[in-house]
Amino acid sequence: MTGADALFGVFAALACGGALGVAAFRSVARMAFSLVVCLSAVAGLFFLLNAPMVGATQLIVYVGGTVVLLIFGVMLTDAGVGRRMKIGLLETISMTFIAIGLAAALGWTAVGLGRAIPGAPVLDEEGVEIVAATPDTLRPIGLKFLGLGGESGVGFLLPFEIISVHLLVVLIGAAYLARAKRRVDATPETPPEATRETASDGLGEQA
Amino acid sequence: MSVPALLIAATFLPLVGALAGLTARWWRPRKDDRAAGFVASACILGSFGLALTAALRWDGPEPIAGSWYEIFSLAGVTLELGHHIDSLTLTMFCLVSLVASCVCVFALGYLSDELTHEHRDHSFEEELVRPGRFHLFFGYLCLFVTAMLLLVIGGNLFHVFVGWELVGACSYLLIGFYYERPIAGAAATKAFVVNRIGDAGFLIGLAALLAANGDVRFVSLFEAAGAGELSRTALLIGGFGVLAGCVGKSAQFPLQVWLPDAMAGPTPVSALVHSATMVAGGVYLIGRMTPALPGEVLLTVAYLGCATALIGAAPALFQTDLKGILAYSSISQLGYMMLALGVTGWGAGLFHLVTHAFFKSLMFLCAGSVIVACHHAQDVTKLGGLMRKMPVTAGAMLVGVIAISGLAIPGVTLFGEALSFSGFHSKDAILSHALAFTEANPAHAILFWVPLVTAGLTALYMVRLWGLTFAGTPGSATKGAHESPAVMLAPILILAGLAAFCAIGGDGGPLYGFLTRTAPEVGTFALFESPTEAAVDEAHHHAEMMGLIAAGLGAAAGLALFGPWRRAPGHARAEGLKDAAVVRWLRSGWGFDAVYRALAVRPTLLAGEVAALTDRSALDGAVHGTATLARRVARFERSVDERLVDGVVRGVGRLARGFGRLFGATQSGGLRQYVAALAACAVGLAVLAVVLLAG
Amino acid sequence: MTGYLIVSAVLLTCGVVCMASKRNAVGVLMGVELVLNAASVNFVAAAEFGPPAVPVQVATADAIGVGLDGQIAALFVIVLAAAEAAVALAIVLAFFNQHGTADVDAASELRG
Repeated sequence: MTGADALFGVFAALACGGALGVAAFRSVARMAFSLVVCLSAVAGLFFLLNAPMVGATQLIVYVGGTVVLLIFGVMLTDAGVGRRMKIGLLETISMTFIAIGLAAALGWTAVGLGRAIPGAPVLDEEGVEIVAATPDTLRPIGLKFLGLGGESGVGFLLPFEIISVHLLVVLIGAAYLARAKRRVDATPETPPEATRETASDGLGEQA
Repeated sequence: MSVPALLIAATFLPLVGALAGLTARWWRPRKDDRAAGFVASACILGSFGLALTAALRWDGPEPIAGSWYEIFSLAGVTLELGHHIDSLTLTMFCLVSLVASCVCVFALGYLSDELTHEHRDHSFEEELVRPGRFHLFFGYLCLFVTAMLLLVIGGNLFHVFVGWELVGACSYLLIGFYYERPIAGAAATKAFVVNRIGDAGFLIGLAALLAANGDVRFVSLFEAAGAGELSRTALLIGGFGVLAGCVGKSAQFPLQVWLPDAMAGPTPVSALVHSATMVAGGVYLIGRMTPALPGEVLLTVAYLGCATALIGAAPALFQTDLKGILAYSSISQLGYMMLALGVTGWGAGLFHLVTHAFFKSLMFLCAGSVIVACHHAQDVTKLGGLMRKMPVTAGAMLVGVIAISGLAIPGVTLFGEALSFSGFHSKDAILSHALAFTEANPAHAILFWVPLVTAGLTALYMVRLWGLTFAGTPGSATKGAHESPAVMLAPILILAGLAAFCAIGGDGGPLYGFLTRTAPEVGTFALFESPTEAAVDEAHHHAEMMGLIAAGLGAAAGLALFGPWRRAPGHARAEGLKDAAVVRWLRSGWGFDAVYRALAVRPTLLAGEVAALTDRSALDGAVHGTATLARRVARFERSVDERLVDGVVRGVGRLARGFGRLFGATQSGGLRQYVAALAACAVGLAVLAVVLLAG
Repeated sequence: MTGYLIVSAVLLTCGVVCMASKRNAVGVLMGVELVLNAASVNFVAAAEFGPPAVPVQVATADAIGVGLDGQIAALFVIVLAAAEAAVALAIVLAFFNQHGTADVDAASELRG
């Protein structure tokens, strides 16, 4: 058992545990913490898979950005950190069965697929397998984006640009959707102006 | 711009004025606004300018022919629109646009009582009040000018026919301008129907020539006729057919009955459409077609013209209506033109067309001036003594009277010219040709004597007209009469100048010279012998003297009967003749109307009655029966509809609603249920895949 | 490879369970994040272990597995997840402003 395998075990355990935590906790705050753990562990898995670029992005965008966004969402929606929203017993039971079925199906597929693709042996010129090569992948990824480095010569510049435009549209759309609106069923004791101002303050930070 | 381009522009420029006039009720809703009249006048004046430029630019006697648009070409038969430009075309263009300009400006003043929302028409027993139609008049007038120029520019018979029908339609609109008056509506209909009779002949002639020649372009028609390629039958049918159209349009015997009635239109219209231009269209077309007309047709033209000259002149002697006299005079003068064309006097006939257009429109405008001054009284027996009140109009009218009578002072010369006005020269030319013709063909001697007598009659009735209107004791209707405004006098004076001096030099002068630059050569005919030019020249002196003597006698008689020294009021002099049956008969225009009513109108109406009766009894029965049947079928269909079709439709609706309820139950709107269902489905699919793929 | 795939399967299952059982809209969003992460783990794993993009004989160190395509797909997934989170949160906020709660069971106006 190599160090890599050991690390894999640690990260996998953290990821699965975090995921289970997200699913199991009732408190939104705890769920958010579990999610952070889970996503960080997945980033570690990416590093193990010779994908430092992806791992770094995972850490920065997900753990640093998206989760913070979610936590802000929790706070803004005032869902109540300690407030519980219970679901029915019948629903819980049926969901458990579905979850077990899904896990079984996916696990079976994963095992079957992993056996079918054991991992291609990478050979050098003499036909000797190169083990645990850790090439520098940042530059290849950049070149791949531009379509310069690889053999195919086809880059990912166009999808990248599309994603950029998509992001822009999404952010504008999000800002539009989340903009302060007069609450229809505004409670008479809270003046609508105050509500709107609080909301827009929060949104300003969010944007 | 080239000559054709100039003329085409001149043709369609008045269309702008027509559009302006016809749409003025939207862009100029105020009734006291002359804008449409100004636009129309500007357009027609522009048209005249273009035509004049074209006439000055045109060089050489060769006609310019061209095609605008081929309508179709099928099995060797071609119909197209195109132009044929020669001296006749250019003369007609200048003439039409010039007279139209004068009339249009005159109408600005004449129709000023239409510039109100409450125009009062006094010709009814109960005064009729209606909104004024000032704009509309100028719209129609411009439309007419375009149609007339389209007719004149036409390079083939079909194109001419198009313009021909358009001027007919415009004439209908203009005669019926005061359509509230029953007499105007009836006159418009009469003119239209009588013209259709002639046009039916025109259409037959057009078809015959088209079938024989393949196309009806004048150039090719003349070539084919000159080379003898066309069959005699085709030429005869074509010639007589076209002649029929011209007889209708130019109010020749026996279709002259519509013209006196057409005076129901506004006086400017009478001046332009029913004396100077449109009615001259028939003469123009005969002139245009002369090279392709066989001898029989020409001789018929001569005799018809001769008859018409006399038939028109006699009723004019006894008319009491100011415009009526002028109308019958127009018929008579048109007869002169036809006669000249018939006796191979091509130049003389068209020369008279031009001079007549000027002096007759002048006289109509003077009459209009009088009518306005005397509050729409136009009975000469109620007029009189207007000379002092309207000196300019009286003087201009006198110029017209002298011109149409063909009076001149022999022996006295001014700048090397006989002291005379335009009518003298043109009538002189006609009489010379007629005399030369009868000398060459003694059997047709009547063709000279009748016009000679008519020349005397013309002088007589014209002097009578002037004397009754302007001389003598003031009549009952002349109270408060005063001279017309400048906008009406200016065109009158211009036309007076033209009527006096346009024919200067006679048949050696510039107008005649220009007109005959493309004159067709006089052909040789089996039926009669064409007079030579030398014979015409020789006849000139005799004809001049005889014509002058006839006119002088007529004028002397007129002066004696109706001269300024007769102090008796006008109506007293007319009373004496009132009762004679022959006078009544002549005054009604030889009773043609009564004859036609008995021979054509009554039978037509009777046929209509019979048809209506048949319609009511037989056809209506069938129609009612069908309707009843249809109603029964409909009732049956309705029951089927309600029970069967509606039942099916309702059943489908119920079914759809049931399914909707069933599936609607699954749409809980709960997000979590959806996700659970999705996951369950994924599991189910996986199980299915395992089972199926493993098995 | 098998290990990564199993981790991915666990993440996905947990994500689905999370989406189906949380009444809090933010919890549902967290479930979505988990599902997306499961997908990107699969992508990166396939990039490392999947069938080679070029024949093995000429393969060099930086052209193994499905090549870098898997990693790039994972990058796209991350970026799209960020965008999705932004939009979804905006919707949740709008909903909250409207109804005063973030309970997804309250969002049943489209019920049939």
